[in-house]
Amino acid sequence: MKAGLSGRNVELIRRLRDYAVLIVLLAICAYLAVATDTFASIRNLANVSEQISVVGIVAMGMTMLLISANLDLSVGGQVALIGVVIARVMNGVGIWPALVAAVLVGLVLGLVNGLIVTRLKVNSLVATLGSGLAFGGFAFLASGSQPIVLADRALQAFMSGHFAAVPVPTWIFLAAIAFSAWFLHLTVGGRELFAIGANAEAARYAGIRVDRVALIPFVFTGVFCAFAAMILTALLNTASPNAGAQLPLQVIAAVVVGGVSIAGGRGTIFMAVVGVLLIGVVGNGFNLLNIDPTYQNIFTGVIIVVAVAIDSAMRALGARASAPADSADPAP
Amino acid sequence: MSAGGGDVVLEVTDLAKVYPPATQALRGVDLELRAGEIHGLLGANGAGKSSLIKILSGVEAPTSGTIRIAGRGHVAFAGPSDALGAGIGVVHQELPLFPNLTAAENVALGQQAGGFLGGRRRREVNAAYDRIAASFPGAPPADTMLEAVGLQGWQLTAIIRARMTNARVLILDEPTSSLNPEERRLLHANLAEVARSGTAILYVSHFLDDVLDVCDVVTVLRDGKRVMSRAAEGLSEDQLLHAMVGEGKRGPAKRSGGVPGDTADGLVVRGLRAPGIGPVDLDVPTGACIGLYGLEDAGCAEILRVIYGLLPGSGRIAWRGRPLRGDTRTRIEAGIGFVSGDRPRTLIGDWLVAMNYGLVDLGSRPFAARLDRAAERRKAEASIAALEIKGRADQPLRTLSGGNQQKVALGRWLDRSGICILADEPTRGVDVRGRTAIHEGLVRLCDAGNAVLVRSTDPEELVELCNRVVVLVAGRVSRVLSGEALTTERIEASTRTKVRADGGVPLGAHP
Repeated sequence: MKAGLSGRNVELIRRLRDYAVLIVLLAICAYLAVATDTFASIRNLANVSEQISVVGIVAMGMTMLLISANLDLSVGGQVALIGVVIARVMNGVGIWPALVAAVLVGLVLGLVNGLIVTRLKVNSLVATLGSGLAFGGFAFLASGSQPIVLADRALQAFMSGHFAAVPVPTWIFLAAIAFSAWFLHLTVGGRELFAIGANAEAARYAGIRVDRVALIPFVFTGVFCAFAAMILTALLNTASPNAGAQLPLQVIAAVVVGGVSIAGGRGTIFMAVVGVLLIGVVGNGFNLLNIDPTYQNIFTGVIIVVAVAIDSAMRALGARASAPADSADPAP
Repeated sequence: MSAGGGDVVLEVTDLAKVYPPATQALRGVDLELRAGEIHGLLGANGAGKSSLIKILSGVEAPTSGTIRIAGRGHVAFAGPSDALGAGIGVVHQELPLFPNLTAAENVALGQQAGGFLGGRRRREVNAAYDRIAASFPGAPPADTMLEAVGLQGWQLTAIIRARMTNARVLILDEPTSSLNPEERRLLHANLAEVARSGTAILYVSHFLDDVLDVCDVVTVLRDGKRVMSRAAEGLSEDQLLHAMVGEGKRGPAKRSGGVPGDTADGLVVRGLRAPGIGPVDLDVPTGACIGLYGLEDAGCAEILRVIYGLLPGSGRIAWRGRPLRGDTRTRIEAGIGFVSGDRPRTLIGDWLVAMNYGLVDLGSRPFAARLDRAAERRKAEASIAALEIKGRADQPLRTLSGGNQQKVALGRWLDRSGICILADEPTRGVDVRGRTAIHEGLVRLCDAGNAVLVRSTDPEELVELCNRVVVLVAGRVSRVLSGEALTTERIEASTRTKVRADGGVPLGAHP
């Protein structure tokens, strides 16, 4: 029976799997809404959306990286280093120069990662593992290994504020979603990311400048890290060189749970957002239900493994469905 | 040819295979394989060859029908290892070997407990390999990494692997699709050797002459049914072709002898050099189809890629009087296109057909430009209609047959005029009908004032298609054939006109 799956049935199952994550998310939300008084309150939901914004913003860049068959483990180091830059420049010069500097540094760090991967041909996992350590080290150097408190509370006041009952960090997350969805799904460059992730050689034969295209999501990720660092630094009113140590794995976990393929070439911004929401809601639920956070790690870990297992099962199924290539012609 | 006529080792009865929702690939096929016989299996794409192979090799389960193996009775395979255990070895079209292992390691793989091959174990494995390889001329030495040997070496390694498992049935899927005539002769001699030892060989091919050359018995499938099964002796290619395609279209698109068009206005290559290649001069006038032929190490494939900007090289290349520089993208913009028979390398199987059409237009547009899905769909639909592709714009490419995928690969370039198509084995693994359609497509392209430079390992294809064939030996032009001189014999002979510069014998020319 499994051998008899046609291409279209596999597409159907794949789509079901995409929606399965959404259904799980909605089920958990429904359960929490009934089981707790607080979950469904505007305040709690605003709170959750603010909490997931840092992971969510970086996840947008990571989604584009995974789709292009790369990966960035240095996002933690980037956020830490940019946070320290924000604090230094803000305390020394002012708030606007600090924000401009943050974006510029994010751009440069992303470019550094991208050039290491595309020019020096270093595998992105190794390249960004190394660069992440280095960025984190620079953060310690630049901060004198101490957390730096922001002298001007204006940034904290801004980031803690709301527009239309929606927290400012959530607005930034929404902007990141909109930008990423536009680029990935509606532009030529986005399609090229899918092409190099699905089959880099076919992309090369089609005249796509694979190295240049591969650079783009690294730069995007660097800039997204700058915005994540602004939020993180502002909310705590402190830049810590330790910030973001957990970030790379949290981000990859969220994106992969959503259904973006770790093997490249497959995924959507929608999937990534659902994954980020799922992880965020589960964390919030454990809080509200007063469950030991230790269980949260176990639970999240299991979800990740299950999600990836389903993904590779899908891929195997896809390969099977493509097998009867010269006999599965649809009726003309 | 081997003796044949031994005991039946494998008997397939009334085999049917349905792919839901409504594709019936096999409709009750019978087949008997006898010990020591080479049994040809022919059929157009979609005739059911692949389904039959997949069922016999345990990759897929039949919907109904039985498989009986001598001494084992009726068998049902739960997976490929069951088939292997029952003595059925398969040498696939896409050879599943490991380039980063030696020939002997590839052969040993999967037969013994895994683990590190050190010292004594390695010597044992190499010795076992050598014992079998000794009877196969041209087999790569035990210690050679497979990435260093040509396709023929890969294939022989796969055959040796099947021999090592004492396969009673050896299935070869399109074994000659990328071999030159010399390599084919060698393969056939090797197969005869395998058959002499009592193994039954199922030889699946779309090359009629190969089947007639080596097979004792021929079975032809058409639309999932067996339409012919008889001794090969006395059969003609015409009879086979007729059995395969019924009353449908047949016969190749013939080109007239002369070279039309304007040379200066075409593709002009002067002093092209690349590692192991050159200097090479080529002229592909507009309106002409020019062939490139050579043994595996002659550099034909590399020359196409240098012209396309995928491989570095020096020399002057111009198209329509304008020099070609820079990377592949700028050459595509200048009007060059590339069609490869190696479809997994140049098409994206998971993508929809329409997206594969759009793929070649992406590079020349800015990153932030709007992705025009409607345009790529229109392009796909126009091409599907023009090339009579069986498939829709919105289905995944991998669900198309090989021939139809190949038409997509060609059709992607045909929305512009004044183009030069570089075709590398454009009909590899494509059946007779698909081949004819692709040839017609290329000929029409030439007639419309474009140019085609085609490389093929099949001299017959070049004779059918080309106005002129350039034969290369060891990276240099050995002879240019056209008009009366353009025959398969002359093409093949031209590869032997010159001994390589290093005094070695070209690959595949061993006695």
